[in-house]
Amino acid sequence: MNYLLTIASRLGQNLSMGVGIHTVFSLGGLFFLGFPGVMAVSAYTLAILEMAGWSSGAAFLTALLAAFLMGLFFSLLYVRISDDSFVVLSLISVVAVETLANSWSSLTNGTLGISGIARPALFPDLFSLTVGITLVAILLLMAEYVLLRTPLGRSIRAFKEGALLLSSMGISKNSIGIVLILSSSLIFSLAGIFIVWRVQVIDPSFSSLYLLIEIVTIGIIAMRPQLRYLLLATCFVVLIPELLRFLDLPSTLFGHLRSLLYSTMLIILIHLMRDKLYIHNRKV
Amino acid sequence: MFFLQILVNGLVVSIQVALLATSLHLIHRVAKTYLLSLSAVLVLAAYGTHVLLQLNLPLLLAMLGGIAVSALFNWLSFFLLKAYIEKDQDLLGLLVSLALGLGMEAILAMAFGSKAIFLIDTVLPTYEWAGIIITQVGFWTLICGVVIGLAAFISLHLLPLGRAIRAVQQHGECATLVGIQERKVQWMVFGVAGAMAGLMGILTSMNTALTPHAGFDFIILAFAAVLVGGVKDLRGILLGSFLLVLTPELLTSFEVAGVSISYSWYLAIVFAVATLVLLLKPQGILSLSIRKS
Repeated sequence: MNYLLTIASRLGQNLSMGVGIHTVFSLGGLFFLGFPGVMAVSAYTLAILEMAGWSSGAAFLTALLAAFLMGLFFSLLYVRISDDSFVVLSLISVVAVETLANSWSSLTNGTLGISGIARPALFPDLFSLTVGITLVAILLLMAEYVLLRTPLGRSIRAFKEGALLLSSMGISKNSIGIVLILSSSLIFSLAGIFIVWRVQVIDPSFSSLYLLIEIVTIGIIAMRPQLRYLLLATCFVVLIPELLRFLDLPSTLFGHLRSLLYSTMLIILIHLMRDKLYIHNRKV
Repeated sequence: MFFLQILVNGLVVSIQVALLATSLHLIHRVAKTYLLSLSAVLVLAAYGTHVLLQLNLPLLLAMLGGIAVSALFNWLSFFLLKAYIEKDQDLLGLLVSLALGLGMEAILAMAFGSKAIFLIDTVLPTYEWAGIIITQVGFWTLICGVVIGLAAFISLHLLPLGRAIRAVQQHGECATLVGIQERKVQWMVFGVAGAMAGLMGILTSMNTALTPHAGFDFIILAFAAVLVGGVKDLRGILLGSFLLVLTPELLTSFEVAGVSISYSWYLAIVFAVATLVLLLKPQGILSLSIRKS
């Protein structure tokens, strides 16, 4: 039963992260790869504050604030530097945050991480937490559905199709980019907080490049604006590696095989879908 | 004297990063994409050398074998990426190369395990001059760095090969019109860049422990050097490499305002320096500012 609840909560948290990557990458076409670092900062903020005696609610809000501040930092980078440099620097930030978590042992307990993180009173057990994260994922999906039908949603889609044309219509490319980065940072932060409440432990490997590969795979499969592709992508990415559990493999190999599977999936999917990943510019 | 020792040690690492950054720069010139799978090239060359040493081959032959393996893997990367290069889908190429690098690291971890391996089991011989000590590997790294760096600079700016690379960089189709085979140039550059990265991977692994994921930290440094130096300017990249290596080396070796910084903060300092430089000079240290329109 616990295994099924764990799978269900992983589906919920990956769906939440899927909404984040869908908005910023699939719809907006913005290669913001720093989200694992944002998740880690937010999750560590929550863990440190809860262990310091703060209430879950206050720690939760402060964690979201930390993610917002990180989003602001990335927004500043986005506005100042070129797109290619922004992509690479956001990727480097993932490693930098992991190093920071390893190094700042007085705050983060270094490689050993922080364990025994209490769940909030609202989600005392795994079942209630699973229900909670599923509801959050559904709310995020509904929010994205509504967003796509607003002028802002149309601007986001136009941002991917032709940022210059968007600017010529009086909508700032930078402001759309900032909205995308900030909103995705908050969504990923939310997912990270729920992960920490579920596993009740955090260490520097919490957000790694393999998580980035996993979530980008969801973004690639769900490249179209329809949300059903997002649901399908999440189920595919979460459930396919679970088939490995039915193979009689040593536990030391399982993690590496999972990483190899995600990497191979991403290469194959990008190769198959590369022509659909860029919208053909309308001729003007 | 301690300061000079730190400077020499930093110089060795700077040369390693500069050569990796040069590989990235060359690949970006002909393919307009960032090849993140070079992290796997580093460790693949080192593991290839390790396997050949286990078969009792002489060190030099084992190194050549390791370099050959890394060049072959880089050609495989080019084979996978050429569809994205042709259609200017450089960011998708970046994602594919990242996945390729991580996938190869996972394969190496399954094959060799995550335990650290040392290419040279014995104590490394050292040279001493005026109280400054340098390992034999560090000495040869400096020599290789100077030779390869000079060769790269001369090739790019004085030889017809360099003109061909610059022609392909500027406009591949026009280069083909004047008789320069774009694909051939790209294959050659990928092979040479892979060999350079492989050599650096082997030399680095002789100084430090080898693990399947050891390459990524180095490639991150090289990437940061490319961004800081300006992706189109080789001189800037070399300067960026020295800046990004020497700054944390000096900060972690000496007390600053009574505060000593642990070596484990190295990458965090690199990220901070790179971010600061890019915020002030978005196009790179030596690049001219571009007017926004």
